[in-house]
Amino acid sequence: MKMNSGQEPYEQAGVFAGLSRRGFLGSVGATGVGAAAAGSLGLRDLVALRAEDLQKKGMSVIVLWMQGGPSQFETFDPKPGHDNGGPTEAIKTVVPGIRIAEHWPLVAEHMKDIALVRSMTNREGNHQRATYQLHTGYAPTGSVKHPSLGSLISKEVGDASHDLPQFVAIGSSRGLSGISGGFLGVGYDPFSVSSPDRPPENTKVSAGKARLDRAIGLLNNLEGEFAGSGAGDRVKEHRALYAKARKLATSKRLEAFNIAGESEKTRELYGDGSFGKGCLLARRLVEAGVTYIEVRSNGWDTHNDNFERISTLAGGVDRGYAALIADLRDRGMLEQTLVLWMGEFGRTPRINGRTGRDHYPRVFNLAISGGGVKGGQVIGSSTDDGSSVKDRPVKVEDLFSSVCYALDVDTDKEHNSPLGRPLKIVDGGETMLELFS
Amino acid sequence: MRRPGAIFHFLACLLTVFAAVAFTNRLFGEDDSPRSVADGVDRIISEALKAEKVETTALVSDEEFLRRVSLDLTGTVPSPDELTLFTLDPGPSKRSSRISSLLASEDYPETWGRYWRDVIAYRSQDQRFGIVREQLRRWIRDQLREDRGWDKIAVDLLTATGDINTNGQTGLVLAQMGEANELAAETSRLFLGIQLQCAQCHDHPYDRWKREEFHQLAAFFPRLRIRRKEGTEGGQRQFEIVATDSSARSFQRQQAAQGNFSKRYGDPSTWVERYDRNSDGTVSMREVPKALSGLFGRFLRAGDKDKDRHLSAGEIKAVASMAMSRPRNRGSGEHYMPNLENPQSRGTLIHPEFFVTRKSPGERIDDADRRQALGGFLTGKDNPWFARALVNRVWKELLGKGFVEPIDDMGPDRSPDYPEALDLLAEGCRQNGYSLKWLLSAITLTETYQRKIREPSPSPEAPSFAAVTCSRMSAGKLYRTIVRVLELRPDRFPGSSSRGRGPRNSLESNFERIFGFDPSTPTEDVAGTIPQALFLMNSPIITQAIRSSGDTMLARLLGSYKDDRLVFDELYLKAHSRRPTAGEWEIFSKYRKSVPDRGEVFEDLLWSLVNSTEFISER
Repeated sequence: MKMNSGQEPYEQAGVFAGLSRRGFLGSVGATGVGAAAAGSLGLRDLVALRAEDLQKKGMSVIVLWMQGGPSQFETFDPKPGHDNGGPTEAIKTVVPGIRIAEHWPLVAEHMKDIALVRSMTNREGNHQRATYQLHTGYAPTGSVKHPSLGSLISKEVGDASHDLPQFVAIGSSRGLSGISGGFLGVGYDPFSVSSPDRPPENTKVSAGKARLDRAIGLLNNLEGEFAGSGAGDRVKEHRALYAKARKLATSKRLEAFNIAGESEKTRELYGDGSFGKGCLLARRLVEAGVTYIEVRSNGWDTHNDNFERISTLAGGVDRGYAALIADLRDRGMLEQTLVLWMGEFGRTPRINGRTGRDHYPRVFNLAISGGGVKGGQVIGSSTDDGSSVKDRPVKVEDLFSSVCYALDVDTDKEHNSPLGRPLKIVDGGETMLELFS
Repeated sequence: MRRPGAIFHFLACLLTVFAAVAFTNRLFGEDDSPRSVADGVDRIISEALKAEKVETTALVSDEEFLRRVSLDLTGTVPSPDELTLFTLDPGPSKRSSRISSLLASEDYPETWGRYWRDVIAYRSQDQRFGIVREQLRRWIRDQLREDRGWDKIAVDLLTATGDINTNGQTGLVLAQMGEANELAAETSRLFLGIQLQCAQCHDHPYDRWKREEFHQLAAFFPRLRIRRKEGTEGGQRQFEIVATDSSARSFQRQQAAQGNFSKRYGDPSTWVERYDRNSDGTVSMREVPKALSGLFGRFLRAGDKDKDRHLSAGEIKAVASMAMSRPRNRGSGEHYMPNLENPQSRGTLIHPEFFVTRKSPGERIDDADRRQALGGFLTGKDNPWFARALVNRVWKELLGKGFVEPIDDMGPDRSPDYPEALDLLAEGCRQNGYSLKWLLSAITLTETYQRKIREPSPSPEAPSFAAVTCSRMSAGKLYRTIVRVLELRPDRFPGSSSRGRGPRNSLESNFERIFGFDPSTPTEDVAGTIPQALFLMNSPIITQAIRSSGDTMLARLLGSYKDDRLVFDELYLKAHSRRPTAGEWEIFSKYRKSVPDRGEVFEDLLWSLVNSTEFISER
């Protein structure tokens, strides 16, 4: 397989996308492998055998991103028996033995489909740096802009020829400006939708499709002069870009961005809050063929009034998250959709003078469902006072490894940074195999 | 002479004449004048190209020249009137006169202020940077307006201290969070064009830089800190840069005292050995000497697990190792290179040294002295990289490609194209006090700058500068060009604040958000994006501005000229700064036949002009 430098378009995305040594050899079968080993089948043939499988795999990722650092004590790792737990009570879930904080009753009903990781551990306590790290798997450095996981996965698994952008971010991008395609190029930046209630910016063709096409025709004809004068490649790139933009703006699939198209029952399930609506939009986008979607919830940086604020915030998120799991399951989409709930770090066990909790990366939690993950389990644990990992520490690279495992993406694949440094998709890290067994 | 005053009058006139002649000579003939350096650069490049038998493109027409140089020096396109006047001007030195007058205009510092701001801002790692972003732009603009030397600007940026919110000069330090390692990397990138940060953790894989050299550069910055200003609460975001010299000195006194203390009373691990008088394997408060009781008390509080008021050797060891795991270098005011094999340890003490010239300012000195010294070393005569980095960067900004690419990856291990030309410009710039106006004049006066564009050749060995490279406009230039061409009124748009709160959601900041990119990115890596295309294609701002009726530029034009040919020509002059070709008129005429409505036809044309590659290209 050709090792492309990260800057060249991945032309053969359709066939090579998602090609990983493990999955590939596994599916070709003994005779295929034997024949390959004997040298009688070329790589091209092997790929041809597998091509249909690869296209069919069609998995997607939805990340529910809690910007600010959600407190593990008030989400999925409550400590009601300890001072550090504060006033937060724990409630039972449908899985005996697993209790979560009282603010999440709807999520509790779907615990059978959710795996909790309570032993996440990291060293970054700064919002910008931790957010960057939890999105790219690398600590930020001035010398290279790492591509976010969404960019990498949409590149490996996504369909480059699709009408819709393969990496979509829903919600405010405050605090998330460092998340981009990095050195893969701007083509892999997330496509931003600031509100689930409105269509994406500038996709409304006010004068109608026919007129747009006509005008594009005129544009292309007139550009011949400039192209001939020494800008031929630029004009070609520009035309291709406009063709893609036009395809998006005039696509029937754009309707996927319109949540008003859902039944009233479904809309009630997700609720009226913007996060819930964002989750509903995410489900629609997965159905429409988008590979990686991030739904953002802001406001989790509870340095003061931690308990009040989370109680309010959790309302919308609990509803949206639970609705998403239920909806995906009912539509038979849960196996093909990995859903990740997380933030950039956790919060301090010690409650500060403003009834708040401060940043705490030493131990925090997240939740994973779908995509082949076995729900109803807890991986790792924190100490009784919630101050550190008790067992099975999980680092950011381990998390990313696991995501790639679910999607059959090769973590060792390297891209070259603009300064010529080879960078793997995930640097080190061990997949949490318990998630999938 | 009949009147004594007449002599003086005569002499004064003579002096004025001499001054004028001297000035013109400076511009047009002395050794380090922009003109003579430009000629030297051209000579070097064209000789090399001739030797390789590479054909250069022709020089640009007057129209092309005016558009290119107006965008490059003042950030917007010329008006049709300016174009016409310029092309009709018969003067032989009109191009160089135009260069001088553009540099003298107010738009020059405005547009290049934005450029340098972006160079710093796009590498910012600090989420507070937004506080100082606008001040930084203004501060740079003010320096450029007076044509203050780049060396002075660099020193000011590096030695900035004090209040951040009102002082744009602090922008660079804030962008790198006031952190020594980050500042070292950025100083090297921006002012030397050398990528040193790979050497932070290991000797550079293929350049000559050693790890120690990186940390020696970082050692110029360990005594500064960014902190919240005294007396401000959580809500108000006020910050300042402070030097930690006094706490560094007290840290050192404390270290010395501890050293003496340990010498007298021994390492804690030896306490059981020394003070366990009743041989029960533990040490109690009664057994330790009085001077040690304070420290022992702290050890007891931290480590007396079984609460028996005695400390065993094991308990003592546990407390000692806990203390070790806390970083002991904080507050020391010195820079330590981490020990990669033993990250918990203190690391190696490193003193500041400038890796290019091996000069050092001394040891254990104050923040101001360190950073001032670094400023001096960077801009000194014996450091050729300062001028070279500047020249390379500005050359690339004007021609689309640098002598070395990427432009901030130079250094002794790279081979620039036409090194003599690079050095000629670098030396000239230095001789002229690192004047940016001088440098911009010298480059724009060259024939090399004035060549027509051509696609970069597919072969990487093909020599550069036989033609100029097509490149994309920055967000700021595109914004101003659109405002000018479509005669927009930005103050009329929702979100633009006249209350002095800053252009948070203004039209300009939207352009920045959608079209902005890091100016240090190589030209071929700057690609268009879908949101950009969607904006120009469909945004209500554009679609309304190009309408043929109402209070719009097009409506006014259609009203003024009944002859379609005139409207066609005028639109090309406005949007593309040139007259249309016969071929383009043909295409349009044919198109016109299929669309009966005059207004619609011209809307489509204007839409095409604004959405074209040519419109968004700087050259």
